Amino acid sequence: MSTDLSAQSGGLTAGRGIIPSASSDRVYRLLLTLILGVIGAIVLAFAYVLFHRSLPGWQFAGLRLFTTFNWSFGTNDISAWPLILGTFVTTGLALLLAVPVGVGAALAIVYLIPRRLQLLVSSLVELLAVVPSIVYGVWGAFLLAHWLDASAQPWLASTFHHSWPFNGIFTGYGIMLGAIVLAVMVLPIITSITRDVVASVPRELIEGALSIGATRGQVIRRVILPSCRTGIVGAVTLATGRALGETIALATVLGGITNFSPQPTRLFATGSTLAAEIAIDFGQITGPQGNLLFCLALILMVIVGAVSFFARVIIRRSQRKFQ
Amino acid sequence: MSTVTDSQSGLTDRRDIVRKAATASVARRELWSKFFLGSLSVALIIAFIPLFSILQNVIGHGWHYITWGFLTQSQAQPSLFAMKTIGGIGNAISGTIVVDSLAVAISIPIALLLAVAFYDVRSRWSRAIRSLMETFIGLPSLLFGMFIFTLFVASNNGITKGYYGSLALCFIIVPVSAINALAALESVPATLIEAGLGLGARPSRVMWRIILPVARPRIMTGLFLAFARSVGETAPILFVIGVSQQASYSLNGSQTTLPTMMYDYLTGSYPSQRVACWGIALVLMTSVLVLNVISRIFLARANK
Repeated sequence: MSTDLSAQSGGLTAGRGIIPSASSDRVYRLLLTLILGVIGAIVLAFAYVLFHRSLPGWQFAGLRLFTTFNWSFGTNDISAWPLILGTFVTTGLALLLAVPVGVGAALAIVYLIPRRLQLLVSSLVELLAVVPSIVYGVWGAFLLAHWLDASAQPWLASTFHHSWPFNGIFTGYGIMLGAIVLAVMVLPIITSITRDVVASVPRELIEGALSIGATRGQVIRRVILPSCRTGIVGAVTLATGRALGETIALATVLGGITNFSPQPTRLFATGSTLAAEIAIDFGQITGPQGNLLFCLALILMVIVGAVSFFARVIIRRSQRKFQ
Repeated sequence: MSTVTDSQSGLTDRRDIVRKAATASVARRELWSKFFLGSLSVALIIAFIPLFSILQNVIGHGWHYITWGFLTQSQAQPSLFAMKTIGGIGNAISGTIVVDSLAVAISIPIALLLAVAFYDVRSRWSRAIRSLMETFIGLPSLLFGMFIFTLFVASNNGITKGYYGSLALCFIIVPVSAINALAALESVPATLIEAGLGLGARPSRVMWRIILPVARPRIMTGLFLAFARSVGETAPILFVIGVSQQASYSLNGSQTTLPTMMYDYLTGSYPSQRVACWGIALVLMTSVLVLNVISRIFLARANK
């Protein structure tokens, strides 16, 4: 009974047991139950269809998807590892670039920019979030790829004497370009969430630290950052989910998998990710191996679903902290 | 001054030492602080570089494409003899308009009903659906395209239609706008609701006459944000709407939208088409920006 009461509190129709509801309200409640049911059914259908379509793929490839090492679509030499590794490597490198810049920029917006300019500056950074991913693809493929090929990669290769991970041939396209483009794409997510969390740190904490003689730098590093840790972790996890699933931008800048060195073991290597490879190979979806793409989709869905679930748990916990 | 005793001089010496040490410590900590704050400013500057680079290049390379002909004519296929023939993007503009309008038209009632259901039905089932919708926001949009493809295109001999794309886009618009609309509903002050209920209004009437009107600006904000996002989406619709080289407003045939046209041109082999991506990007970004500005206007109205 107690669970029933707590479940009812807050809703508009809380007292419907006491007051006999009018017919229009019965229609209202029926409508709401109906929409929940329909959406639930669509979600179930979504999961079922993807799972069902992937079954022939699992039967065809079986454990080969995880025990061999080359994604050569259309042949029997087929493994998901180059794609899974490519997904994690590009996302990891992108976060390595985006987290310090994103968190630093958020702190700078809140504590270094005059209050009147804060809104303007932060909405400019968040403008990056509204750029469609295909535009990032064009920007990366036309501009950054050329810049990497002509200046950055030759410089890196000669500075580090062609040692790992700066060895091998380079074309501009590849893991490095993908990581940079991804970093730019997730930067606004990290900055905007971090800015909100940082701005919600209680003033007393900051004033307390300042009053015992801490410098502004010390306040930020020793007081603000630790108290925002869960929020920042949540932002980064959310960005991770977005980066893992990015499709079109990466499909145009990663350069694809080469058969002689499929694994993304060098920064200059070309590669692919789960999502990007599905987009690239989708033209053959009706072919004999098309079902394998649904296996990839299922792997991707499990990875991204897990990450975004944890992101929400973490963010909810951080929101509770200052309330 | 001349008769300074030993103990006094020792005291002043020690005071000097302490003062020097303190000054040095403060100076050192101030220096570190300046260095740290400086690196934060550098991070902010770095964060601006990609934005300026994208804007500069999209505008710089794209603006000379913006002619009346480019915006209204349909695309033309370049050939080996006429490499520079690309026509315009009229077919993609009309396709974007119809595909995205239908997606929004389908999504608005569903998203609103869903938000009201999350707000008013406090059951385990409702909470489960809500957290599923939150998960859907983070899922790769490509998966929705694969779902629609399997459901409609694959079972229909591979025939692509514009409205399949609209259905796929609903999977992006509905979760985002429903979750945002829920936050909007929850921001309505309880006193207003209690006043309505206290006057004897039925819950459905309170929802329709009080909560929804008060929450409307915020709901519109979320809706336009979702709309803006869907206009820029490529992955979910790429495989279900096909290609239409003629401008058409029909949703029952294949369609081309701005993002799918860009992907087509970008992966194509004609340099003239590849470069024209900048022009399409400028049109696409302008429309997405306009939608975002509209959503900000609604947000400003809500905060007033």
